[in-house]
Amino acid sequence: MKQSTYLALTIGPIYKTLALAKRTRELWAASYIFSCLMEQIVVKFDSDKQFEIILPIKMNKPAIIKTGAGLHPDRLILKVKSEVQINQADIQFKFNKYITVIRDKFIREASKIAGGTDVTTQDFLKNYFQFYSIIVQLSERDDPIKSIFPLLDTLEQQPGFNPVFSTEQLLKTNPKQEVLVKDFLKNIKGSGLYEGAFEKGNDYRFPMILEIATNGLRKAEFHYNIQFKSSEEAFDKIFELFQQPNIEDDAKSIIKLLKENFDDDSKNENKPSKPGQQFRHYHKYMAVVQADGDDMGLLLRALFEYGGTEAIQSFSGFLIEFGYAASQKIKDYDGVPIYLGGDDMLFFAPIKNNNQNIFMLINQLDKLFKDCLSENKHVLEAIAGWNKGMERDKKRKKVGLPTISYGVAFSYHKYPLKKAIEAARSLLFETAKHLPGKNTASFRLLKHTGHYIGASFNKQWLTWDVFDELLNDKKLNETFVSSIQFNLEPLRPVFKRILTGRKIDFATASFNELSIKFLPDEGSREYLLKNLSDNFYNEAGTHDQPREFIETVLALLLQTYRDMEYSFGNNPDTADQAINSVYACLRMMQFFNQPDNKEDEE
Amino acid sequence: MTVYRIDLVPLERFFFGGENTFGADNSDNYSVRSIHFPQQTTLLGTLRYLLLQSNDLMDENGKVTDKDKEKILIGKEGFSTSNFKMGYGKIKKLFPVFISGPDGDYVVQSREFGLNWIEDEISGTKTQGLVPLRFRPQKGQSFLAGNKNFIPFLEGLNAKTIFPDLLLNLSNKQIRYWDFGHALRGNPMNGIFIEEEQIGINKKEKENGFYKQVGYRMLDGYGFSFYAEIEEEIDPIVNQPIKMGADQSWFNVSVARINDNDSTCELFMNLKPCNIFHYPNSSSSKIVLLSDTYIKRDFFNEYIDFALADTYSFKYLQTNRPKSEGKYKNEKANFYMDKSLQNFELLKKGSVLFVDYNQKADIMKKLTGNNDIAAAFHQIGYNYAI
Repeated sequence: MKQSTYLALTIGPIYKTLALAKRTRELWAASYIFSCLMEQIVVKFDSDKQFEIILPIKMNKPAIIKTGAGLHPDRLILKVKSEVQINQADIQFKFNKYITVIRDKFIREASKIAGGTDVTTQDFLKNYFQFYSIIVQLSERDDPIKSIFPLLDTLEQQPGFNPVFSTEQLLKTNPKQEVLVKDFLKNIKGSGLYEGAFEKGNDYRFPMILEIATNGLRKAEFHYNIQFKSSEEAFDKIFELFQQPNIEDDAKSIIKLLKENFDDDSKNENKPSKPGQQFRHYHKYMAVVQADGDDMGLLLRALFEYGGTEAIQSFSGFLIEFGYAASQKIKDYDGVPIYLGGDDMLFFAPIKNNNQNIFMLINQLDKLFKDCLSENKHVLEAIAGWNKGMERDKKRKKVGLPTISYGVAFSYHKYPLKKAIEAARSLLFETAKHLPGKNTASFRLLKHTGHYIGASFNKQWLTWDVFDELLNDKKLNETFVSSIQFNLEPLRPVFKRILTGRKIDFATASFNELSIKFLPDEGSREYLLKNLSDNFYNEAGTHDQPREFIETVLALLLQTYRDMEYSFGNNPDTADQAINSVYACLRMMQFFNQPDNKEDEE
Repeated sequence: MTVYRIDLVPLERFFFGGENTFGADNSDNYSVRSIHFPQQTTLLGTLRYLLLQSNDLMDENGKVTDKDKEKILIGKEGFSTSNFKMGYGKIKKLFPVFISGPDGDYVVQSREFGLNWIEDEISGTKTQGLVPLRFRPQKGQSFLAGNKNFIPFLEGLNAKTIFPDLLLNLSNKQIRYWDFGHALRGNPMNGIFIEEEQIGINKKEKENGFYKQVGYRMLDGYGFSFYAEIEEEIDPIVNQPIKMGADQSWFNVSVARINDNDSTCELFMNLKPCNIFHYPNSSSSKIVLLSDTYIKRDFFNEYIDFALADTYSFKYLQTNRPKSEGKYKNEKANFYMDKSLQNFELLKKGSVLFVDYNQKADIMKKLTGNNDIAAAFHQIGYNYAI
């Protein structure tokens, strides 16, 4: 069978470089340089008609607004066009030349930014940044992604390294230098990288964590102040002040200024006797979100089988377009998109922004993804064809319109950025991705003490919708929310009994259920819960007001259990999980609404 | 020339400084973690100290009383990469550190096992399991550190594979994790190192005084061991308390001549082809590092087909830096040290280097160096492989 020549490249080390970043702009730079490099490489190969790019595919039209997001993945696959008459050695030479030119230019510029253009510095950076490539022959029937990606997985295991590096040389030229790549990231502000990435170019002020966390105040109700005409102006001026070279970004002072300027959350007419603070407790936290498409590998295989290379290319193009559209949505929410390689996303965002919150943003991104996908005929054909093929190939797993899972970490503004990103990553890959059906959002409020509050919901569950609604419920009484958590816990065994329908042996210390297996029918669970509520919260006067709220909470509990039961089965562990998730919901509701206390958060 | 075995059993939580420490020059880090194994340089320092002590050459402050005798006994200075001639007095050679326990001696397992999420076909649940990674070069060309006429490929690896830290028991060939985990209670693979976190506040710092330090303890009966060739008769030492590490934690040290049937010693001393890492890739076409290793760039590019390796940044504490530069010091003992000006990136023990089986013997010889930096490292226990 006729063979074609494929070339593939992987650049890095991405995670190692991300780990060196401390500030938000450094983190952005660590991610963006790779996207930027890949973009240059793609443009170069795109202009050479001897090569056909399989992925990543360039955007059809240039971006309308620069969002600063990296859109290009770290892998490239090319094919030498079949009609091209050229021998292996020449192809290899050309391929290496293109990449080397781009790489060397990058190294020179990176050295300048890192602070030294001497040979030692350039050599160091050359050994640090990885440009690993392969050339391989595949037949027309071979799926290039299925054949090549695993090879790139292996290549990435070999570390680049600098066996010995003398700081003596560096210390002579620049006394502060020690870790070159760290210096490269630190000096990124004002380098050429900003020009290509942001509308304001080098004038762009990359927001720090606290600014991202409080971005919601930009459009808040603003107390008229002679100094500033609008909330946006006040906000910008405050943060600009702290970017001056001589002023240390002192979180306490920033928060104080924000509170002073955004001190009244009443609407103009009826000012209450005690004005509230627009600066809330959640303003001290930033959402770090990592997302990844579910079962994309399977979809790619289906695409190749039913649409060949053309389908893969179309899908790759779609991913970049979607990445761009998603970055715009995130920016509209006043979030900060870092990397949006189609199905693989990293961004920072405020927890709430006026009437929107981070979970609503996630829903919007999901909808955008789904809408765009369902317009792609290649995808629809591939899914239909593949699933039909299950009739003859019993081992085949069913594929549907892909979904996205999210890991969401609510990180305190003083918490190390690196840890927050690791947490979001872990929530995504170790929790969300392991829930049956995936399509899950796993969120967690990170506290210094190590203690955390969080839950995971499949976004198809009704529970997810109920949860979103409750978070936006303005009628919520904050004291009810905090007290009810204490009130519910002693009733845990009873809840478990009602939910599972199994007997609990109260005589033993642990809850080892006896195996009476009768599944309660729906009516009886609701009835039992209502009885419980009637019995325990029946004191006239004390319980009248919270009654409605308690019933809402119990309804949430039952719905959560119903949803989880479907995935995890009807058993006490599932009941525990449901109860814990309801706590997490309550805690979130409290978190989303509580004012900020005088004392600083832990 | 006598070969001794030195055993160090931790009496409490220990902390060995790695690349990131709180250090005199580094206030950037709020959270630091101990490395699991002591550096060979730490072991050299400990041995030199022990010899001074047993020969009564220090006063009560730790200051050396007779510089000439010191020089003969343990050499003029501590480790330095330019010291491949002068040596360390009567201390001729140090061998790599390993772990000893009631159930035998452990070395670091070769990095040929990955941890994958494996889906159970029937239930759909996923569990983590160790997967052997077989090196199966594929047809084609590759360009990593240089041009190669094949494409390296590890069967069993996927994009989500993690590389766990593993130990190999030399007696019963069992594999265990390094770290002890509660989730693995009862599982024979459960590890030896127990994490112990210490959180505190440095009152002198006004804003960023908060810090977190993660050290380790070991399961009862476990400790570090190493062999040393010493040209001096030492009376056996049994369970003498000694301080080691950045936090100066207490260890019990024992020193004794080796037994005739000490097979672990044979492993390090003879380094003859041995099949402790026979699976999953053939020993003849790979080199497994028994200790952290320094390799020159050119050497790596020329001889190594593919490296399944991890690296780390290393600076040793130099004793030959002028007094004024010594940030780490004990003034009463007249002892000053500072970090070396050179920064090394070493390959970690357990790393696997795939090579052409025809060249393996040659490469092994070159690994230990010859009047160069590699030789200096090798003398105190780095650059050992099998």
